[in-house]
Amino acid sequence: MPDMERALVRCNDLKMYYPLKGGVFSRVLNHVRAVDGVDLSIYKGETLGLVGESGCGKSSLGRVILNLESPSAGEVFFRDIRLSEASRQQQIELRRQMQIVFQDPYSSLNPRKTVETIIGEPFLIHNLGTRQEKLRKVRLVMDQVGLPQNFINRYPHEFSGGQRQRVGIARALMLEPAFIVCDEPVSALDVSVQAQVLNLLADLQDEYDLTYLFVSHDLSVVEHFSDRVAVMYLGRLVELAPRELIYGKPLHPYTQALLSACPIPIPRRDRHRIILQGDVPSPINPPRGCHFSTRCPQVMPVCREEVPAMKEAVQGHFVRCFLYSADKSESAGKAA
Amino acid sequence: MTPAAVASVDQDIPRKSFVALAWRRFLRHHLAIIGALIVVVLVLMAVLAPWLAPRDPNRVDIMSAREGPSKEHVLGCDVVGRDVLSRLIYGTRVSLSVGLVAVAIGVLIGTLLGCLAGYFGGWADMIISRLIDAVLSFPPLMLILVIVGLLGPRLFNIMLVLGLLGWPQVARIVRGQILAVREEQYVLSSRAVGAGSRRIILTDVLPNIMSPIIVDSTFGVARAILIEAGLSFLGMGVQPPTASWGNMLNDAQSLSILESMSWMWVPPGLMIFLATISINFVGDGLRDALDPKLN
Amino acid sequence: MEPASVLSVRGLTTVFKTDLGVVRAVDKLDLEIPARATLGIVGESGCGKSTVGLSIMKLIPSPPGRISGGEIYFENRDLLRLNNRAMRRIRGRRISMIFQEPMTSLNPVRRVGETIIEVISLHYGLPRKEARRKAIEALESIRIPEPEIRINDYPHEMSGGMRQRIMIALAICCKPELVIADEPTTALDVTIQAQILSLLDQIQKETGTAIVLITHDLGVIAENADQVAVMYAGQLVEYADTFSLFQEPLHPYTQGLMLSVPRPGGGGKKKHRLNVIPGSVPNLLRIAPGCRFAQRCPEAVEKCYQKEPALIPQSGGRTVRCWRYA
Repeated sequence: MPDMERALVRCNDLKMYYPLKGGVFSRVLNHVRAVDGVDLSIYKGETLGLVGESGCGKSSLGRVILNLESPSAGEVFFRDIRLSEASRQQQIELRRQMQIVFQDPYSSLNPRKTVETIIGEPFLIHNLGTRQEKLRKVRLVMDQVGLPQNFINRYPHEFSGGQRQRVGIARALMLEPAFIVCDEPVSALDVSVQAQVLNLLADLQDEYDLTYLFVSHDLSVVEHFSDRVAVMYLGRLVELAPRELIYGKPLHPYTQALLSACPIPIPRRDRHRIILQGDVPSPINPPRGCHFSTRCPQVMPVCREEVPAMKEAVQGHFVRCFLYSADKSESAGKAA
Repeated sequence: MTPAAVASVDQDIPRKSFVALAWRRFLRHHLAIIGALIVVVLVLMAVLAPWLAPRDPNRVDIMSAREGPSKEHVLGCDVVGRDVLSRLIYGTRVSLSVGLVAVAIGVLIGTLLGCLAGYFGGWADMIISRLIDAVLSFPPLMLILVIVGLLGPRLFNIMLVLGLLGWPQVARIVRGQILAVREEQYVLSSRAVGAGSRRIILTDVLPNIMSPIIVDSTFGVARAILIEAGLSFLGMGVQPPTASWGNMLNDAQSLSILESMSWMWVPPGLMIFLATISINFVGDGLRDALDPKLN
Repeated sequence: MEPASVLSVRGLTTVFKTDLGVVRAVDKLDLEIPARATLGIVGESGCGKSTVGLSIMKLIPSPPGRISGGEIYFENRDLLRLNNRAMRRIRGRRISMIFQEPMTSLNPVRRVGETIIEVISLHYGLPRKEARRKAIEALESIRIPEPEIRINDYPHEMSGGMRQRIMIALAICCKPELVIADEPTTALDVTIQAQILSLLDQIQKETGTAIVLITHDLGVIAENADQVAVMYAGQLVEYADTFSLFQEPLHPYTQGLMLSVPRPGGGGKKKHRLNVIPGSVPNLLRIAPGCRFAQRCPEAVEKCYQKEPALIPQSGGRTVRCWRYA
């Protein structure tokens, strides 16, 4: 793992298990293992992309990192402050430092509040100044995200998806955070609007030295927008590398399948497709051993028995797969 | 995006707030408009009763007892010679005030408890939900009769009882709505910027669940009016000499009156019917107007 | 040489009544759907592409919508003139549709087999045992393992990908001439999407059914469509075969769209700013004279604001609605 000291945000063996209640007395029957042991570091100023399909746990991971939910196990550190032990004062301060932009512009804004209220609320909640100062800052932030000033008294339902997303971004900026989790911020938008919002996010990052965790299922967008990319499958990270390495030479079979499945706007009928069989297993009962073993085209006997560890295969390129484990022959011998 | 959503993207379409849009939808409901007009007339009758009523409603005049409609008494007199028309007009006050106050009490209690149950869940939800079930299991008529019998048939007691019987329905609606709204992204967004529970409930949750509460309240007013009329008819509600449509019907109970002196029971009966049905029409119109799915 | 068309749309106009006025979701659309091939209809939200599919099936919710003009020729008959009974015989049997959300398109209280058997019985009039056999065949053809068991499942017991396969089975069980797929994979994961699109491709090769693939995803179009129709603000703005369209997009909207999509190997946000089409989609309630894209077009000239261009034929069977190519 890279030098853990300089990271802005750090996760240690993070687990998020949601209990499933059932039966007459609402007993806990089982758990949804949304996040199943994640180690991650995010460095100041970078954009870390997090890709995965539905049910992989990427949204849960984002929320746990932001302290919107408490992890079932493991720790999150923000600037070396352990979130689980933060005092109330620290927690309030941390709220200001870490913000989130949501996916669905149609439900992430309260339909009964005006733009001014929505954007200005964080300012009021944290008592950052007078009403005039708030108004001034709201107008300023609206300019920065490209919202016309006369929108200030309107309601969300009067706007398009792209404009609503800008309102959400403006709201996140009010507290001048250092770190923003972008949870599928452009997935619900049209292609041409996506481009606008992505350019905006990039500009804001330059101007305010922001650090992003960019969560998305859209591989081309993540490739465009991120510096490093982490691939998640059923609650675990399976690959982590700088952008060019992941897209140029993906190592993990899942990443390879994902990339080959991703449609590219270049007509080529001869494209080599790795079509995975079957469906994604349920996070309630993940497979033993490597979570991907049930669908992996290159599965080996050891994969079904043991969980591979995250190893640095090439400089800066980490992968969790027995294909790249130095000791795989040893385990294969044991399993045989 | 629906075609309508695309159409309203442009900036220079005059913007319409929720109230304006809802008002437009309401206006398309012809029955609701008629109902609303009747309700307005009733409210005016109640407020302006002292000026509208031709006579003192409680003035007894044995000489004119059981007289039919005439020039002096447009709707005739009742068994003790009181002017039916004036009693009818004053009766509006009773009915409307019972309806409004009973519903207000029910909504206040119901919203508070429903909020606690829905937002905080856990023990609060368990206790309050069982309380709701308990109150709803009581046969309402018996409860009303018992309590009114114990506390005495005063107007306020009736309002109180109706409110206490009505709150569980409101609480259930509120609880259900909150359970849905609680998971909305904008609530999560408020938590993400550091809002506390109180702010979230007051500014995020409540404004978005008002619609079903308003609709249910409207129907609740109609229900309360009917129950009050029924109680007064049974002699357990508003006592004479105060005029109420229900006790006017009570006074008209004998067979001979029913057969030959229809001016004593038809007008109050008609008023009850009119009030109830017009309020129900308004409620229907509101339900459609406030339905967010039509946005 | 022009391929034979399985369906011809002429001058189709579909309107919707809204609180703020009448919106022409599809405006005098002309479209030929080639037989035995896949026609992709691509465009962004509100461009009318889904409305075209629903109009062909005559499934426009009425009110508030209404097909107000045009003709749709299928097997020498104008579908818009057919009565309900005749149309019902066509839906599901000769022309069928696959929707975006498989969960809400399948009746949750019915076993999936029942739904398929019902369609088969309806159109073929077969006794139940026969219909059931055909239903199992249909499930086999979409590569569902253990079809005799899966046929008794309920929708909620299946994954999204499986449900979409069931939808496809429903659509093809009566061997239609045309299948309209409205964003069939938008709600699915990328790896499942690949499975489904590959399945549709295989079905087309085996049965020769024509497919209309409606999507907003240029990548899906590039890899699965033979011909492409680009729609904007209710109109067709460009039509070409896939290769030509991506090699050399003619209409400025198509060009702008392709440039706003991140390309693999593009260098990332630091080196490459995504192209942005300025402004936003025009308000369909107040359509200005002239070309609908003029306000946002980098190449607009005065004529563009005054007169609306018609579809101008180009070489190779292409058409484009732009004065630059007159």
